[in-house]
Amino acid sequence: MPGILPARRFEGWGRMHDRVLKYWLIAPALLVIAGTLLYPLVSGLWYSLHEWKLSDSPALGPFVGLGNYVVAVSDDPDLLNSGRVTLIFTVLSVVCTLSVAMGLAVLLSGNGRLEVNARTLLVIPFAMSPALVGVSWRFLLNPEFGGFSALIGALVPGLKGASFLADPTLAMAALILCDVWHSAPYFMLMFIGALASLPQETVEAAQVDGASRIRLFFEIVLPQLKPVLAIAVLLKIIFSLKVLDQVITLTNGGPGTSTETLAHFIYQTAFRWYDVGYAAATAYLLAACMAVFAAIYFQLITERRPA
Amino acid sequence: MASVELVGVEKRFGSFSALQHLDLSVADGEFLVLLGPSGCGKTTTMRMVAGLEEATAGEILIGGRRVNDALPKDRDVAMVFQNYGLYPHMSVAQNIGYPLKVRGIGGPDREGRVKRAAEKVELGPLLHRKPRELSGGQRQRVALARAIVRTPQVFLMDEPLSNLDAKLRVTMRAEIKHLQHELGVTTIYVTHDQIEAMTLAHRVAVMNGGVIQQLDTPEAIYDRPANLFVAGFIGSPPMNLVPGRIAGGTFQAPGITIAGAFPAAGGDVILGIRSEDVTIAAPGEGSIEGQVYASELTGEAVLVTVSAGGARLIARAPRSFRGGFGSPIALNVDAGKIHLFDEATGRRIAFADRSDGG
Ligand SMILES: Nc1ncnc2c1ncn2[C@@H]1O[C@H](COP(=O)(O)OP(=O)(O)OP(=O)(O)O)[C@@H](O)[C@H]1O
Ligand SMILES: [Mg+2]
Repeated sequence: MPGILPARRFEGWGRMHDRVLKYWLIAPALLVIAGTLLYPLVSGLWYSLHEWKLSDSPALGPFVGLGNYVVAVSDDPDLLNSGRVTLIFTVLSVVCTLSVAMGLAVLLSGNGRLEVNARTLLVIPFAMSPALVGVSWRFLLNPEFGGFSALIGALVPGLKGASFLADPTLAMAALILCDVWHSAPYFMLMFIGALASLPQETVEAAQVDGASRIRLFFEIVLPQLKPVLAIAVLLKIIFSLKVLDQVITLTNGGPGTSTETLAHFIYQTAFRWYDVGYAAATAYLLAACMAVFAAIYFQLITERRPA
Repeated sequence: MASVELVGVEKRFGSFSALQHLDLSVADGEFLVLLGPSGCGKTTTMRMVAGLEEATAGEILIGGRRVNDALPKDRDVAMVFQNYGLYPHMSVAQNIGYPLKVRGIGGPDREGRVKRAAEKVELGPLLHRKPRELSGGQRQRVALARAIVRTPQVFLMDEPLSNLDAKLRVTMRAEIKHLQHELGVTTIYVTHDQIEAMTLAHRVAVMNGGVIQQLDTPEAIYDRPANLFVAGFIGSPPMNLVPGRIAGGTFQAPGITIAGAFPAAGGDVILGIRSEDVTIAAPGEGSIEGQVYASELTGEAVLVTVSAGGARLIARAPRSFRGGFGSPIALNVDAGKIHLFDEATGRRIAFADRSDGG
């Protein structure tokens, strides 16, 4: 029947529309992802199995199997030092960032004018490029003309005129400070969102039950934020493990190797010492480390039970 | 224990006025029930006493002390929230015990008190569950137990039994009444359930639109409603209200003529009569002639709706009543039980021979 034919044709077109067209539509995105993610991943793995010193030759060197990995895990004090630095940095920056972020969130979660404006202002550090943050703090911490240095000097007389970036401990402290300043606003926003979705009646019930502000925070609010907190901790661990930009622009790993994080070590190995094969292998080790946390992270965000 | 006083309290949310000039005085040890339709400001009143909502104007006193600026934790009240407000991360036992915990009461003392409170609300076996593992009615009883676990200055209970089944509601009602009597704690109690209001209250405050319409004993509110709103709100079925005229000592409305000791200068009024004060008579033998509009068996009686003239009246007939739809019927009213209200203002009109003076 003539009436049915166009309908059929339309139906066929519709099926094509549904089943095939959607792949065509996401194909460009997939290509971009493959080019920027998959290709470097695979080629990186390939390089890590070779010796490739750019200082000797631009061509890929001999295949060494797991040789680079063996050296990395068994016989490289510099890498070990970087691992230690990264561990210290990660632990302290996670704790400090999240504490500061939570403090700010509690202070600024209201909807008053002051809170809203302060919130907007505080997002600026997060909007800045991390490299720029490092450069800014380098100036702020300059013992001769740095504003922050002067402030610290006034507050803690013992640190007056101290050269932050010349002392191993102070340099690490400066690096953490700069990281907290940069990343706390992001987690503050995350916590403000979580605080806003907290059932208000639980807070009110606790107030009527006689809880002080401190108790209210630690016994009623914080436990209910646990799922969000867990996600924040994991995210921040992942961010901290791969810290690089600020290290380059603030301390450049120094003094000595006291702030040389893993990412910085890898960067130096590849682009200063031109040992690309070994850099690729250590990069893979760091990635494996982060993959563990990333896996837990995804587990958490996809498996969140409704409370 | 303490008295609670609200003096000229107002509450506005932006431009919306939720409570207008509320004067309410609850005596030490009194059980006061707030009764009123949804949205009339009952919860708002409670929240202001608890300190969760700031009064826009007026004063709130607990035990004679002005508490307008006191934090909730310093007011020593216990509240059952309409939406429970349980702590989701704590077990039932921890929820109930929390007011004790913050007061530094621990160990076996707390355990014992939690257990007793839980048993009062029949939650004994559920102490280890989390709130999300409970039914609505069970959650509500946890909220109730959390309030009664200690002896505060004031109990604030916002519809604490609304989610319970009929049987449990009766048990809990008795439990609350007994507990309040035993402890003598001043209690403000919100309910939609008139039976609950009548059985529990020393006094009832009927509210509408953010205004207290009448504040009196349950008997007085039932027997002498102060205005049309209270008359229509209290009682089930609600009072029959018939608009008409009084002239020459008789009340007249289309199809209805009632002789009685009415005030001489009557004018336009609304006559009120409760269904139990209306008796059924054979056609032609009553002061109201009409037809059966519907009849409903309630269990112990039959509610007969009669249409007479332009009005509909409900009469409470014995269970044996039989009358088909539309069959003619007459009604007599107990003249001594008639209420009159001014048509313009809705206020109760006092008339001479009524002993209640109302
Ligand atoms: N935070 C608020 N902002 C704006 N309006 C509010 C707020 N809280 C309550 N109201 C309004 O105030 C009025 C009284 O509310 P309230 O909760 O006291 O009613 P209620 O008598 O407890 O009703 P129900 O019996 O339904 O619980 C309502 O009209 C409500 O819409
Ligand atoms: Mg309410």
